[in-house]
Amino acid sequence: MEPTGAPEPKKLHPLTMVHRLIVAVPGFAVIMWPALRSGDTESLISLYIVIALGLLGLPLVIVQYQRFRYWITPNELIIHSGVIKRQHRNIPIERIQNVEIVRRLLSRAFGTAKVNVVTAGSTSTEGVLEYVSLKEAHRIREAIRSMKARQRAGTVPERVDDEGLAEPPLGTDDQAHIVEEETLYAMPVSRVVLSGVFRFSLFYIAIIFSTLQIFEPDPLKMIEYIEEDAVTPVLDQILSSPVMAAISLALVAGFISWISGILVNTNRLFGFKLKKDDGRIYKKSGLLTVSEGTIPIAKVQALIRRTNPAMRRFDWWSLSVQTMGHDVSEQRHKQAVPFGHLEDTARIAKAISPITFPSTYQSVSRLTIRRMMIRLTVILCILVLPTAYFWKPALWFFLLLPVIVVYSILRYRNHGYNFDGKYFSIRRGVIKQVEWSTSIDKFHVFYLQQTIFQKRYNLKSLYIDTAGASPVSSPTIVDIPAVDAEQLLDQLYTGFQHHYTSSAHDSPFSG
Amino acid sequence: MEAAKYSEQQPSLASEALQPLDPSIVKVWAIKSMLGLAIIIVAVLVFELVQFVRDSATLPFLTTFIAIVVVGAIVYFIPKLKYRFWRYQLRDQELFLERGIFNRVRTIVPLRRIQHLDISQDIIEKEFSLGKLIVHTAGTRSSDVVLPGLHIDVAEHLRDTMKDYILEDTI
Repeated sequence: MEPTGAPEPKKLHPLTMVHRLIVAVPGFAVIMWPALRSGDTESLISLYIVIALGLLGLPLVIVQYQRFRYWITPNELIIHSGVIKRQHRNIPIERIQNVEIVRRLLSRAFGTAKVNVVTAGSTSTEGVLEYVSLKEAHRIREAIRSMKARQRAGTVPERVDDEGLAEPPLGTDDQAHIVEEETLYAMPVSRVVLSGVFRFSLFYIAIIFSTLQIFEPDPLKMIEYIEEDAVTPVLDQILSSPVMAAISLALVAGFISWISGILVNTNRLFGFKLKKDDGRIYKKSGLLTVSEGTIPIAKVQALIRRTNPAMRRFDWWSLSVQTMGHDVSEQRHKQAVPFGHLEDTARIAKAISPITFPSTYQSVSRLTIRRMMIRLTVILCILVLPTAYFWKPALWFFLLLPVIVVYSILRYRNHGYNFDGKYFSIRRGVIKQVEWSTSIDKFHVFYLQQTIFQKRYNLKSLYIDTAGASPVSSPTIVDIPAVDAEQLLDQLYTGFQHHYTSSAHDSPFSG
Repeated sequence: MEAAKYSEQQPSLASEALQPLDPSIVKVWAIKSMLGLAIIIVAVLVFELVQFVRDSATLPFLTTFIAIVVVGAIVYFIPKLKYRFWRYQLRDQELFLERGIFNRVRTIVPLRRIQHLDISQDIIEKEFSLGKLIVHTAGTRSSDVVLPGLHIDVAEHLRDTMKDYILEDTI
């Protein structure tokens, strides 16, 4: 049954069908692989399976397309889908947090786009329109946005009844909105590539080596094939010493990883643009896959500024926002400035949120150096000593002890906190340096803790929970002298209470 | 100065004002940890039985004996210690929790931050008519703060008191 009073239902772009079929090709290839490799009769079965699947799949794609319908009414987005199991999904407009437009290579060739409707609830209530034309995608986003704006203004009636409702501006081009957009930050190609240079990740090595495993090429044969005999003597030299072999392998792997990191990063950030448009930060980037999304300013909980020693040396930083949302798969720490100078991050931070970063931080207790040194030394002993029992050279790892000392001191130096009565900031990290800043009205739950090891030094750790905080790198102040920690907690909590009692009249929390 | 004013208003930081859990939670914890640790005893016992059948054991069932003693000590002492360190208090503005044997944690949950409240009760807790109060907030680490070992009536009373503080939009 169709919703009454709603505008005409819409279908997806017809090329969706072609798209679905093309996407299915690799899957078929995998099934057919044995048949293609060895031509014996038994493996021909897989060929029949493919034909059967094809005969079944083609109509299925068509029927699926026929069945898929969506409406945008002033109150909700309605999606009807499914062939065997029919599904009707109604997403209330006010719950919609973000409308993302993603365009992969294939859909760009077709001029289509995928629309992800992200809600504040769990992942399962998301709406996906795969694929609509790009124009339609932008229209959907505009329609949802203007409907939300109207709802906020209270000009939309509570329920969709009969015909008393005006047509939503689906067909009309809301040009007025687009004009107001101002570009906050854009990254030229050179800066995109440069940002990749600083982003070194071992993650890509793993991917490269696992793909190599599938094809099992013989690198020596490959080199011989390409270089004839030019490289062989060098290679022999290297392989004659196991240490040299290990070092050169690590260097090669590191280099490959670095290059692939740059490529992946460029693909992701190409043409990065950040725009501001009434109450929303809108961003767009990507080379092969273009994704567009928004950062809802009202939902920003904290600002995060990152750098590392190498980036810092050349004044490069990144700025992310921590937004509320329960969707784990979606990056909750959204990058507003993936790579920019300090002044860029400051300027954009100002445009997004009143939250600021302090220029100085208060240090934690110096005893934290000793604690860290002891902890790391114990870990090193646990790792090295049993190994050394079987393999003497493992003792060389004790040369890492000075590294532990330096690391512990740097960790102390880079760790600090600041509370100015309104904004609360924490800085930490030696290699990955993170500054995290939030305002007093974003606090949720207050934790003060003391482990059995901290007790000996009379130290405590303080953690203030916020919505959408990363559970992995949570902003904790570690090792504050116990007295200071208690005092800080009191200050923060009193400030928090004060904020709500003093602004009781104009805040929604009065009650 | 602000801090001083705060402690004047809320003289409840003194530990005598904090409430302990229901004493029968010690038994519940003991039973639960016993059930968990029984697996270790069984594993050790099976291993030693095999050794015994093979006749290769020098001191039969010594390890099992040690395992039983260790597990027994854990089951006997840990819940008691845990109980001793657990304190809570519901104040005008916040729920205050203090707990931990080795890692002492103090938690303040502002009542205005509560998203919703649950009471849960498993079979063992039901036997002692105890219940857990689970406080959900929008934070990440504390998306649920758990207050165990309450008499079910107390838990329900706490929930009903705190329920009034749940706001439409906490963020």
